[in-house]
Amino acid sequence: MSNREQNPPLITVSKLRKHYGEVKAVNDISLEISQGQVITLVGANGAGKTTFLNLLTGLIRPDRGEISLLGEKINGVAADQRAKRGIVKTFQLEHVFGEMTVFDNIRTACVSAAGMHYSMFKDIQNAREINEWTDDLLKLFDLTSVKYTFVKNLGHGYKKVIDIAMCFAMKPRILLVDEPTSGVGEEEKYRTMGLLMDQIEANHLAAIIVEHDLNLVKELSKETIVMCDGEFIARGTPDQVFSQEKVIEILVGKGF
Amino acid sequence: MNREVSMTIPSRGGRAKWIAALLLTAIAVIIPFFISGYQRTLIQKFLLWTPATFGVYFLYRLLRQVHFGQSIFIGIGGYIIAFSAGKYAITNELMILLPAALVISIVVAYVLGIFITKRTGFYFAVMGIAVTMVFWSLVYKARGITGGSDGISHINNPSLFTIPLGDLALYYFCLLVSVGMIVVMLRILNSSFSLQLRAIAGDLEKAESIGIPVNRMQRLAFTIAGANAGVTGALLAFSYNYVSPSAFDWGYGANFVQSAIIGGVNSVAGPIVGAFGFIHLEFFISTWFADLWEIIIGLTIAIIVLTVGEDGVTGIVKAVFGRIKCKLRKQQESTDKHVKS
Repeated sequence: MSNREQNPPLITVSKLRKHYGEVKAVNDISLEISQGQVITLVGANGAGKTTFLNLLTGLIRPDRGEISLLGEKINGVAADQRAKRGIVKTFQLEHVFGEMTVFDNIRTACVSAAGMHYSMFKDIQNAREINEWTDDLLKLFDLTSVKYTFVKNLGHGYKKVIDIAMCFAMKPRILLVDEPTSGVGEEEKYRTMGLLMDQIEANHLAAIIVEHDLNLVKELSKETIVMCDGEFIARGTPDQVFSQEKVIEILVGKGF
Repeated sequence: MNREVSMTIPSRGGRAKWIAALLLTAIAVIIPFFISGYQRTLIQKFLLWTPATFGVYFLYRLLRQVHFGQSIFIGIGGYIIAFSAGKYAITNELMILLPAALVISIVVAYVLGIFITKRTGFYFAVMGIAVTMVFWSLVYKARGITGGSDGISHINNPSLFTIPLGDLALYYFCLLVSVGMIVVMLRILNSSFSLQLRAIAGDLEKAESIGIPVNRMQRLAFTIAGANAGVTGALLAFSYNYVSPSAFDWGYGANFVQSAIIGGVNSVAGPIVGAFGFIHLEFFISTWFADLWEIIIGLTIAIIVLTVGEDGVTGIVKAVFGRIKCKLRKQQESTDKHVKS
């Protein structure tokens, strides 16, 4: 490997903008993230956090600005292709395949990651590599006990973990985590985050984690960005950031 | 391991299912010798309806979309045959015409799929109907080419490798094609392709976010359904030696949806049972209570939907078999006890 300094950062965002009419959801944001860098993103509701993540994954298109992955511009790349290149997002709300078993949920992601979209004539039961890989992921995320349960019958915490496990099947480079603990009970919250952080660390991934629980934010990362009205207004270690007056005002003032 | 909930859709059939399938095929092979020519054409119609119904089943089972547009491809397949083996008498060779019908319906389905699969649910269904209406009126109006409402009759009998096929030989050819297409569809239903289609139906956003090319896969699924109907249409034209614009009618396309409902969408046997049921229901009603056709088919479907829903007739049959099995087992147990005491 060549000198680390010469490598382009994993993700470069420059002057990214998305307005919805009068609402400046994301307003000229620039950011660089390198491999292994974990950033937490906080801000009141409607600050544009989710929009920002969706711009990165390609679910929505920016009005202006540029997104690059390892120095290559990816503005025109569709969401599914970005996922394949390693920009993977977990969802805030429940986004799992309820009518399928846990095993099939994870297996779908594995099949997709393996590029077997158009494999029509091969019985999937005989795709040994895929099935073994799925089993490995189930073990990794402690889901083996519910392997054959339909996901719709599982609790919210499980669904979050399944969502995360599917993301890991994609072999991400950067994980965009949108409020992984919203609606999850206190105890499960720490379990879910623990699983997630262990995997991020083990794979040396970059991550942007949107989180409302400030105590959790302090534990999760060394770097926090505060977002307000589509702009980054503060950046630094959690302790630094949360001691700034304007940050307190925003977070407390808006009923955070 | 709990087998029942573990696998992708078609639960892996035990040997019993294979035996049943072989038995049914064997019956279809020998039955022409025991029934009249007219009854044979009924069976032949059922065999040909099965692939088109499978297309509807496929789209509903995996993508949860209701496809009223199968008649587009039935019509296209039919008119390809009517032009080349009837009106313009180019060729009647099945080995040329059937692949041609297949390829053209695949191309048309893919192009239409670009527009139709852009929407889901209610709008998908309506788009299907809208497109059939366009096709229907085009064919209806283009009198000079298509014969308008008269359709095209006097389609020559087909030949296979230049050997002319009689009615019975055509029956066997239809049987072969139908069984072949069912086998292909079963394979596709068990593939990773289908697994991903189910994911798309489950949560489109999530599917996209794990790298599934959602639009292209929906289009392909639509194309597969259309290809099935194209083959159905081509062989139906040869079976009746006649096509008319009514092949494009969306009401005709709805027949396949009705067949799928009758058979049930929870089992791969559904489309087969459904096509069989619909054709024979149609035959019996039109023979004995010709005026009551709409009422009876409407009521039948209403009753099925209200009582067994997605399980359809296949579900009823399964339940009945389950009961019998259960009863037999109990009887066995009670006789066992009797012997012991």
